[in-house]
Amino acid sequence: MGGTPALTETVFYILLSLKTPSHGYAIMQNIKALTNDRIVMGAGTLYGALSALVEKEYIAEVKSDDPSKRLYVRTERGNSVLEAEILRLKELISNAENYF
Amino acid sequence: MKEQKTFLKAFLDRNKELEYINKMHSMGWKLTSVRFAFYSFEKNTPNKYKTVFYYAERIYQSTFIQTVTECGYEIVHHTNEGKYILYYLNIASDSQVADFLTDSESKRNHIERGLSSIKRDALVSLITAAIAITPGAVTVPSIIKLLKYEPEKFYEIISNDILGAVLFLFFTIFGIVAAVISINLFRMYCRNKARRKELISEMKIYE
Repeated sequence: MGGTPALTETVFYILLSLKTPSHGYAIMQNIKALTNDRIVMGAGTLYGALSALVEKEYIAEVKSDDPSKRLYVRTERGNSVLEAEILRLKELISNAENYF
Repeated sequence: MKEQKTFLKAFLDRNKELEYINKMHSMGWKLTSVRFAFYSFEKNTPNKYKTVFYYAERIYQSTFIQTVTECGYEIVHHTNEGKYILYYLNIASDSQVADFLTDSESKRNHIERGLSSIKRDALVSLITAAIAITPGAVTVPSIIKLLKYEPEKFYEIISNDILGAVLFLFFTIFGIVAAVISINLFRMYCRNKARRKELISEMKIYE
């Protein structure tokens, strides 16, 4: 299958949460609230995903007023990946509604 | 100041080590530091904490420390293992935070990091065993022959070079111990590999 591979749920929600700069714990809380407690992410899972996303340049670290807190935000590349994923999901839903 | 205790313990298996630390927590001893084989604990309320371990990437060390600290974990540095750092993480037992790893991919990565650590240790102990055992293995047939046919000559050699004999014995025993350790590490490696296989097949269901 060509194009960008499908995002995992963890990566999808982290990217979605980082429209504005946010730090680790706030990302976890945001995802929990967004999914009505369905996804409660572990600290290790979040850390692993954040470091992988920084490496892929989907997110970047931004300066924070509080030096003890690292803030992350979605990059242009991250925006494109998320947009592509949303289109893919829309196609899935549309196909499901038409053919189910 | 809280009462402190330090114990000398040796573990090959991380899961056994974790079992020991969590048993100490249940008895009211909270892990405060690990240096080589010395485990330090401080007096605390029984069952107040539990511990998990994690191999964090050295280059993202500060991201790791910040993320887990914000979630309420207390970090205990264990060992530096190449590009990873092994941390032990204490968390209050009544904490509302989720398990440390909540997705199959992270669990698989964690097992893979553990696997490469076990593999490295197993290879080191195997090489050590080979180096230590070789002189013994080469000379054992001659020693047996000597003991069988000329025991007086054997005792004469031993009494003339008691230091050499002790060293010979020491290296042979050391080599056997290293061989036993490497066999156990390889067994652990196989067990963890099987667990990784299970996780990969779990992941495939969702692909």
